[in-house]
Amino acid sequence: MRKLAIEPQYAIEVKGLRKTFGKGENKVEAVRGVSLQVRKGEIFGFLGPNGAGKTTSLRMMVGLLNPSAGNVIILGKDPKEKQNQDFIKEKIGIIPQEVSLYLELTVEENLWFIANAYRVPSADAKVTIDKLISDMGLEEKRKALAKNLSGGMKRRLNLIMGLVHNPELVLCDEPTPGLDPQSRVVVWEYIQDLPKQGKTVILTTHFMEEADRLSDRVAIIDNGEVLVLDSPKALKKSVGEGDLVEFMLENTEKDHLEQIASALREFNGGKAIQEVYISSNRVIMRSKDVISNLSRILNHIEDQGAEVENMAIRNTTLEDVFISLTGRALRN
Amino acid sequence: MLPLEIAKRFGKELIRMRISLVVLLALPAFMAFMFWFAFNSAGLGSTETYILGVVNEDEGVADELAAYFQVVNSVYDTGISNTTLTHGFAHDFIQSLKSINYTNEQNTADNIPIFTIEEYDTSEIALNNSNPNEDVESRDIDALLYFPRNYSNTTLSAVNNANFIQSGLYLDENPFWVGPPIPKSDNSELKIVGDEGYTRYLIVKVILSKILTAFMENIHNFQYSGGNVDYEINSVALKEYSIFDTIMPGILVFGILTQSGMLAAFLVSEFAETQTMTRVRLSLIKPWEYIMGVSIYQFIVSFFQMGILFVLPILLLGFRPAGSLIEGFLVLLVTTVFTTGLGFVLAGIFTSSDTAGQSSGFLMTPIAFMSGAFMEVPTITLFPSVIPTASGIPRDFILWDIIPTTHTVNALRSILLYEFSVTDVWGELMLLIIPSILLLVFGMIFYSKRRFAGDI
Repeated sequence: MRKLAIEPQYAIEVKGLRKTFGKGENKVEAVRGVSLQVRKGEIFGFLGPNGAGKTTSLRMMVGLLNPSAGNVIILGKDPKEKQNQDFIKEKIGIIPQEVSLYLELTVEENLWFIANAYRVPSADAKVTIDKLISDMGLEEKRKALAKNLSGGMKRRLNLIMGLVHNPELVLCDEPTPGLDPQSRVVVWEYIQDLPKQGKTVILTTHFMEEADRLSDRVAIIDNGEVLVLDSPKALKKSVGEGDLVEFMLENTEKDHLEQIASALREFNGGKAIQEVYISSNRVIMRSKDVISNLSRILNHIEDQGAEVENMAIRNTTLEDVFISLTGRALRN
Repeated sequence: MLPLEIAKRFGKELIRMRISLVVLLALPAFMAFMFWFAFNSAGLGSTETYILGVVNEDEGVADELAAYFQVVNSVYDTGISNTTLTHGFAHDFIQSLKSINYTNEQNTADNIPIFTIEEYDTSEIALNNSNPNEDVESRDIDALLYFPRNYSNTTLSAVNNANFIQSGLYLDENPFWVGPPIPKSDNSELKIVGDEGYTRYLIVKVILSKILTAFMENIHNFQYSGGNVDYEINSVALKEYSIFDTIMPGILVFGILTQSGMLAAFLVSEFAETQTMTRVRLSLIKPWEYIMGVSIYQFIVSFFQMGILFVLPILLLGFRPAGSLIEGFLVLLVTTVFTTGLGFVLAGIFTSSDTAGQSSGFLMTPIAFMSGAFMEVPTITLFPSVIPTASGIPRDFILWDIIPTTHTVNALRSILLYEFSVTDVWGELMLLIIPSILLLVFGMIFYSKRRFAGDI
């Protein structure tokens, strides 16, 4: 009887992943029991501040770090089993956080080396390399040494180096820091387009805008633990409805900010404002009906002896989700 | 072929990184120039008279044999020393050494003796009134030649054995033989003792080996009756070298040693700075393919580096070795096995290319010095008379012999300066090749374990 191959539902399944560095007093638990499933064809975001354990988790998933505990299944296969390793390597493309290029090779030579490293047939490699160079707008630089590229171009080359062998699963580790806005948009659009090519993307980032814009689902991670996992929309909704208003106040001490926040919580008997918190010398409040209450709220703040220097009304972001979960801002 | 692609990639990177090329090529060339500037005018070896200590414990041949030879061959050695066979072969050999002068095509040094012989009285040695080994260590004498008690008997048995090989009969088995039996087998050890790190000793050793070869060839012509043992060894032709010439093999070794640091820095940079090792590890490149690629690259780099380091001093600095350049070149290429192995070990240890480069620089200079690349190093004997040498006389295994490049230096000097062939220096080559292969295998495994497994 012919055996039916069952297509795995998940690109990656992670169970109880832990990583501990050091011993004794120097022991640091970088990842503390991360469990999650990444669906095929989605962009899965890992959002968290620097040092939260995103990159460590990602490196364990691809086998660059040995987990202290837990299991990883990639495309239905256990990477610990030797016979699966080449299969998994072929299916994974990594875009590392650090720009890792052969600086003394040209753009084209860099890509050809990686194509050879994955044993991509020359004809296929040529087509793929030409397309990737064109997609990233590097045609004019194809013969330029990588060391002579601008920072943004290096990042773009870094990105396509992970795609030369046409992987099924792409792991982007902080793909855009240091990029100019134009290059960032190019990279974002390119990553957004990857699922249309049948690829699954795992994206680690500490830019909430990046995670929000690109991810189908986001896991917010802090201190090595996944705090919450859902779609960006659902996560934002979970924080509360309404708009957010940020007040930047002039020459205000922390105690004074606390006093203002308390006063706002009591505003109109506590009915008009759903939530008030302080972040980086700003008082942030959420209200379902900001516009009709705004002038009264401003007067209320001034009554507390503070002067509003600047004010912004915005929608809820993933940063607000992070703040509501941890009590601090992502950038802190 | 992935290893070739890897080798190609490393090659391109090296060529485009000019600073690396400078370190690989210009630094050893600069060293060569410096030594040339310092020592080119200092002649060595052409007409030097060397002080040779001699300890003669030879008891001569058995009385009945001596008596027989005196009867049959009463003028056995009149041409040379006016001594009789009862003095023994060692005595005659010493007399020959005293009479040997230089013949040199480039100057008129015909009457300059090669050796001043310092004979030690064995009874004085027994009483501790004199100590030739101390004189060697203090370099009061350049070398010590030691004749053991049964040296003459051994020489006679060698003659006897040679006759057997030639005619199928030992001398005393000849129907015309009327004398007493001649020894058919006897062993003794003629020793040349000296400081292996002392250039004058190395030269003396070479001269003595040439004389000994001629002596043994002549003595084999000894006939059982009527013939003479004829020592026609009164001139030795030596090529004129400067101190720079004798140092040049060491500079070549220093050059090849720089490769270890360069290789380590390259590999560590891939792991630590450019982090391209992450890409290598995640790709389908197997550790053995990567390591083989690196080794191919290293071999090719060595080939060109050594070529340039050979050609430059010959073209620009007047280095004119008398021996085979090709064989010297091969010895250096074999040394690449050692430098590559060392490079892999260093690359497995260090996690920043700066540290790797600096530490290997810190390591390579003493290795070059301890190998005797630049000057003589003190002798610390671990095992006496165990290493076969070009002269045919085993030398001591000294502390620095654990460094494979010590043997590169010795083999290169013997081949390039004193015209020995690679087969003559097989003992040195074995001590170079075997530890180098072991180090290379260890280095490859160590590097593979450190960089292709575990955390990155």
